[in-house]
Amino acid sequence: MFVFVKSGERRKRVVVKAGALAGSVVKLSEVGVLKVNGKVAHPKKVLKEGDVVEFVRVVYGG
Amino acid sequence: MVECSLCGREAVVELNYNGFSLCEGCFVRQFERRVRKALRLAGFFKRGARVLVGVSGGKDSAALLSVLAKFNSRVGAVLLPVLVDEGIDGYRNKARVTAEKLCASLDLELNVYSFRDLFGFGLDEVEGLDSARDACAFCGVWRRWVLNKAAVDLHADAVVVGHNADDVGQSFLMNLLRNSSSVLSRSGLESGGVKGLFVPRFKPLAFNLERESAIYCFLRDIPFYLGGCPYYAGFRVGIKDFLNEVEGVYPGSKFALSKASFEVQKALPSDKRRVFKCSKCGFSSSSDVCMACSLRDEVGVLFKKG
Repeated sequence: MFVFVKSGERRKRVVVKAGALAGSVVKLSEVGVLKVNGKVAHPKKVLKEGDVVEFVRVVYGG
Repeated sequence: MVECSLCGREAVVELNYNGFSLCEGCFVRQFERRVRKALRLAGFFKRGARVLVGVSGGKDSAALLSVLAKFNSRVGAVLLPVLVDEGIDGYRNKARVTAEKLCASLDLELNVYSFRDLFGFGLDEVEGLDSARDACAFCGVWRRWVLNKAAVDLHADAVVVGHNADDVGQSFLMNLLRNSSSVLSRSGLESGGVKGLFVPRFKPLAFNLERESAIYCFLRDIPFYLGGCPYYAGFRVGIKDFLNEVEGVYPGSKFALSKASFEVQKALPSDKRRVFKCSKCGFSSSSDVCMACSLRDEVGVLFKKG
């Protein structure tokens, strides 16, 4: 199935296996928050066809 | 579906430091409980207290102001949001818009104090003036001075800032690496006040991680500016990156470090340095002229040379 990985304003279509987890599609770290379809999501959330996954960087300097 | 470790509803957040997964409700409650604990320990948040809240437009101060406003319906303190505009075009002016939107949504008036109004110049004009120091070196000192000035102007009993557990741990490590034990003895949940010279400062977010402020804002739809300061530089950058890496491998390290900071601060003898009154501005100083005024004089000279 396919999902979208969002980075800023851009969205990239990615093919994943059925049952793929949100946290497996993006690189997670301490500097950001995982979102699926615009909402905060658990890394083990099971994705559905067409879901939009985004790792939003929130930790900057200053 | 991953279940919340506490209530069994659908979890939306994974906390690596304790292995918990939390639903929206339990995460929000945990975040607010930790702020409540910090406020209880600090003791200033009560009916009639005038509390200046440093608001930058970013996630920490947005979360802080929102939590305080929520608690304040039962407390009855006077919340005084203050934004320090350092004069960084393309950054602070955008963050200010978000801060104004947040304050309007909470029915609070945002007070803005700007470097340009107070000093005659902003950070954009200072950057690059001194090849040995970047703008970051001046900014922190002046921001603290401006917040204190605002606190005196607004007759605040206390100043609260959005420093979180990450900030506490970073500062602790920085001061250890510099062998600055006198600073360590002053840096805890509260930076003590000096009557008439320095309004006491508190960090109600000290028991929450930086990332958790962002999660709290997202979950409660609190607007905040997502972006970093273009002038962010210096020792803290390296320490911050290092601690984020360590946390990624050894979750819980940041909390352990910030807790260690509080325990060390309690164990150290209190700072008995003499406090002077700055001969230029009248605020607290460790010498005849405070650091903020000294730096302003230096910049004045650099402007004339340039």
